[in-house]
Amino acid sequence: MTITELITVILLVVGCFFFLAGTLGVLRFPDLFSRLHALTKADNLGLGFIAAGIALHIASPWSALKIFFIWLFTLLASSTSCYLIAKFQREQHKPQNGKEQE
Amino acid sequence: MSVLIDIILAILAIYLALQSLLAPRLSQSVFLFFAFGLALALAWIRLGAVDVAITEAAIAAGFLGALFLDALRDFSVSDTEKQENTKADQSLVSAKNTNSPWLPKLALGLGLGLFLLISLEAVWEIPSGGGLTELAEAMLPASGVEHPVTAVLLNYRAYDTWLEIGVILMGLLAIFAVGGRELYRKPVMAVQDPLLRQVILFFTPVLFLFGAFLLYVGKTGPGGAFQAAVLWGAIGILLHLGGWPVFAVIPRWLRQLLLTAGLGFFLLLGFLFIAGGNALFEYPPAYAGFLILIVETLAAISIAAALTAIFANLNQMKETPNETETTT
Amino acid sequence: MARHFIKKIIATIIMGGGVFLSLVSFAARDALAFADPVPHALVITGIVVAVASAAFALALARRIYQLTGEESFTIDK
Repeated sequence: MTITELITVILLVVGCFFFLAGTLGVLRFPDLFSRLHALTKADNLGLGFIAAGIALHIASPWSALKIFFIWLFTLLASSTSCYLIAKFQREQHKPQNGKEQE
Repeated sequence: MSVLIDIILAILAIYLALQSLLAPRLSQSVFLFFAFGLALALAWIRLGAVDVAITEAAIAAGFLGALFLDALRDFSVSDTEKQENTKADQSLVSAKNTNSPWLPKLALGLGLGLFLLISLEAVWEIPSGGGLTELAEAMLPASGVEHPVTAVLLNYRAYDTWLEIGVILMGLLAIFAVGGRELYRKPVMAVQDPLLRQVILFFTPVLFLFGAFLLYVGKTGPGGAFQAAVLWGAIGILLHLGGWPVFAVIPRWLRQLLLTAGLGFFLLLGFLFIAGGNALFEYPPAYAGFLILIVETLAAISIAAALTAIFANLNQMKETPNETETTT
Repeated sequence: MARHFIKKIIATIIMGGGVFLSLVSFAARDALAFADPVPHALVITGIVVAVASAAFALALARRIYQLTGEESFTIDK
């Protein structure tokens, strides 16, 4: 295997590991906010690694640009929805939970 | 090695489908349906059908999943509670149904097995010649486009595509009939979150450009009118969710024009060449490509408007039909 | 044997997806240079038609729930 293929495989494996960690966090964390944390951060990082690995594998600059845009749009969409979910949850449970600090 | 990926994908798709139907909570069902749509799209890429994969991921997983998510607002989250209540009522009311649950299931299982055996026996021998591939490929230069699936969709079987646009419009009309008609009395949406509005404003030109790209790359590669239409419909849906009900506040004649332009122009085009002595939907090969491009653009606009209207109507379905006050 | 409306609609879409999958796999099985494009076009049409009918079924289900509060067809009630 050439060095490019090796780096591609390493990047893909690291990305899959981050996805696995994020999914494990979503399943096992107790609170909604920590689950959101695991979901967006770990999954987007995993997506970034996988996108980098694929962009390295397809060695044309136009494809790399397109893959970069895919990663950017997914990042925007997932972080916006994470923000909306967290905001909705906070507004819903604000009157009940007196221990919450500003 | 590729067989291993295919086997894993097949098992994953079947597992996701089963779990989607057996999930205890309704929200779990919908999310697993999303995942099943994605697995199905991957399966179609493995089978070499990229157009079908894009269409499936966009419409069946994306648009239909969005409709299901919107429907989750209405229905109660866990349906096991209600099922237990109805089951308790049933067992109290009638005692003679106690042994019936296994008989329909047995009949269903036997029928499905029989159907599977018959269909397997019907298609076991591989027919020689590859079906209609060479015929499609041979007529490709005369069809005006260079991608065979687009040629089949818009030239060889243009009648089917025209009727398909009609089916989408009919779905919209059926939703009107169910009771979504009162949307169009100038709805006032609540002001949404400013971050959401900014992100939607960012995505609108991006989706528009990407949809246009998919539309015009359908000539030489996978793409085409339906995929572009779903992306443009996504613009309308996002604007609707962001607090600008664009589709409802434009004047009525414009709405009707947008919805019927694709269908009408397609029909006009089909009939136009009968005057010259050709058959229905037979384009002259000289400028078939140009005509197909116009038809695709108008059809994409129409389907996008219809998808937006379907989503907006399902979103705004009110309780009683004669309310004059506006709700979100 | 799902009872809820939405699960019934999901099941219909899954069934349709299965049929389309077998259609496209037949096209890919006896492919020459590239896959037979006619079943691809039929499947694209089929997906769109299935989505349109599922949207209509969803509208019906939501309307029934709004008007009566029932979520499934109970046979003897």
